[in-house]
Amino acid sequence: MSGIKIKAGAGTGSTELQGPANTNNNTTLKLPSADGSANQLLKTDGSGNLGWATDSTLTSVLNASAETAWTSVGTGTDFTFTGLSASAKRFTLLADKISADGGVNTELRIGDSGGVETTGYITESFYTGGSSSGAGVTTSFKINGTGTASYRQSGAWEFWNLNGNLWYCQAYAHTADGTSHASGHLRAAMGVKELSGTLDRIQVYIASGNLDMGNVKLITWT
Amino acid sequence: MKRTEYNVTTGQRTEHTLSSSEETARNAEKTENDKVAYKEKRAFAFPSLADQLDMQYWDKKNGTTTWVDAIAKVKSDNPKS
Repeated sequence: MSGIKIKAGAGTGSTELQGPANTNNNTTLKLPSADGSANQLLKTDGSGNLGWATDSTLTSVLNASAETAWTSVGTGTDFTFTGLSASAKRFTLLADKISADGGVNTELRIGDSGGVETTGYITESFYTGGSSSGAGVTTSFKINGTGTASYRQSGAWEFWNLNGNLWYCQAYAHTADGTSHASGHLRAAMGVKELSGTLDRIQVYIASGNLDMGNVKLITWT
Repeated sequence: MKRTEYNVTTGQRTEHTLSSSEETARNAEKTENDKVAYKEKRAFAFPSLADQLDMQYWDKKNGTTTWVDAIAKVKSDNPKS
């Protein structure tokens, strides 16, 4: 097999470019006239002309760019993460045993510089397990399944940017009473919401009473 | 009433007391929520359909009122607001 051996700039080694192992065809491949950008791949136009192309699999990968410390949801009517990155494409809200002082649903809302938005959600809000029920909700991403004041909800609640200011939320909640299970139900919310501006806040909300325990953290993906 | 905010960029945590207009809006929302909350609580507390069918079968067989009693208890435990 013949090839072109290129000696290293220093040292005694070399790199050899070789032709195919076996062919009767004569092929010409023309190298591009200039260097490409970082992470670009060499491509062909099918006529022997080589060029540079961006690898779409590299550019579509999201990376976790920020993660808050665990923080208490406090004892107010709601808890809101603010100051969110405008370039983020996904947020993960981790919830550890969030509880209210009454039997209420945990709800999630998003907003922009104008504040948290309370209308325009298109949410399927449901629970299933020993029994099941569901409803369409327009005021929040409502995780369905009213329990009692002793119930605590945990989960990894996802917010994905679909395009522009349109966001999708998918939230499954594990609910337990202290350290034991609570009725074997899966509580969930999934829906979309189009904001009027860039998302900059995510809120954990209850419709009545106050939050009384639990911690949250937010992971930002860009 | 108060609400809690945590700024992801600065790490600053703040608590705000709701203004009177925010409290009014909050109370109005609570009133609307209370109107349907009992339905949600009942729906969640009812035995599964499979269990209810089983109760009805044995009630029919034994002349008992297990199913009616179970449903009545859920309703009385979660009265209309």
